[in-house]
Amino acid sequence: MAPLPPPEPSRLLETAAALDARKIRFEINRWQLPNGLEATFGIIRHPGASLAVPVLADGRVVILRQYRFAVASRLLEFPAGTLDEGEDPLTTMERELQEETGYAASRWDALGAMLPCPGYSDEVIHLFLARDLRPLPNPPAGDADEDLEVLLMEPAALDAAIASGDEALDGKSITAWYRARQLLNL
Amino acid sequence: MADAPDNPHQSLAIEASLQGEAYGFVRERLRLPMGLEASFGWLRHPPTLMVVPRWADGRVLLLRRYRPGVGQRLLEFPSGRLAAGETAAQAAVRLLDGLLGPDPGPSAEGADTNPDPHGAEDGPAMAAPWEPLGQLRPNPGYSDEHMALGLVRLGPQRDPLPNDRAEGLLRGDDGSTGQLVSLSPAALDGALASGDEPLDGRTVTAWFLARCRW
Repeated sequence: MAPLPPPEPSRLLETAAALDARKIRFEINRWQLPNGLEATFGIIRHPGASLAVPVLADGRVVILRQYRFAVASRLLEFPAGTLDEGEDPLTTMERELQEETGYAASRWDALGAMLPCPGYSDEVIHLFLARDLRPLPNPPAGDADEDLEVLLMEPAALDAAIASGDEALDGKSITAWYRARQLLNL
Repeated sequence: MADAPDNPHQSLAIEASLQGEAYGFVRERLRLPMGLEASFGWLRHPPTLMVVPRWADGRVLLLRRYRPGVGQRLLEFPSGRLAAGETAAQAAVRLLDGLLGPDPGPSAEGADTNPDPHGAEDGPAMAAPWEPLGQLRPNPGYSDEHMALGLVRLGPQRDPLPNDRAEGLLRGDDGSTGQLVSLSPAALDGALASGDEPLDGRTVTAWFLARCRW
């Protein structure tokens, strides 16, 4: 396959309107594209995030059943969190893993950067594999608005849940799981 | 099962909203099922689909698609919004015909090797059957988008070598442009594992599910 093209930023000509909400901002922008055309469309500005696939020594994964108001559903998701300003993605992930699952990890592998919705969000999610897990006797408290349950699943059970057609599928978690399976030779 | 909104949040007030051409954004005060009240911002997006097109020779059809919002050319399966009243199967035909030209119709060989398990609900125009793969929530943290994922096995009458298509073939509402790419499953897996490729979460999810029924 041809080598990956280099980034080609579009030129922002004008922000016609914007609306802030907590950690994100919605802008309606007019852009000049690399091919010279102009286009106007809305985009979410996001500070970025990290996500980890935590795998126990016995092969089970640590995963969450988390309520998401935007889709009014409880989704199966790996632990994740938004980057604080200037924060290294791995630092974010170490903190979020502890807060959301009650585990700490001492072995980390990068699984790449994913874009959940490149058509309308500039969010980049940094994916990790977390191993050598140990449960924390006193895990730190998480965010007040997080409504989640921690589950331990066999890889085959996770594969079956994803393929069942019964789950509303979280794209960032399945992308990370696809990459983790490659690294783990599953 | 888990998708049932058994204990949904309550909307208390719309604090602000901003409408774009294709989708809008609201900042809304909500009471979550756990009891907490707070303001959240989220995108209200029309339903969409993404199709994994499989050539008769086993390769898959993708686009190298320029995304202005992230300034990169991503490897993506064809995707788009559902038109009003349109099923995902119908939208898949529309998308693929737009990319490849009208389907010349199933050949006798294609009809034998490509039975249509969903044809009854898709109507007689459904030359290439839509095999549902799942329902994706591309960004459940701040978008209500529902994306139907499906596999379409292209008949042997389709041209498997559309490599002469020029840049700018596809032009989306968001200014995106794209170029067609056909890859073997191993080449796609390799590209996604390379570490060089920015991963489109929708595409990788659709591919994960398509692989389950390859």
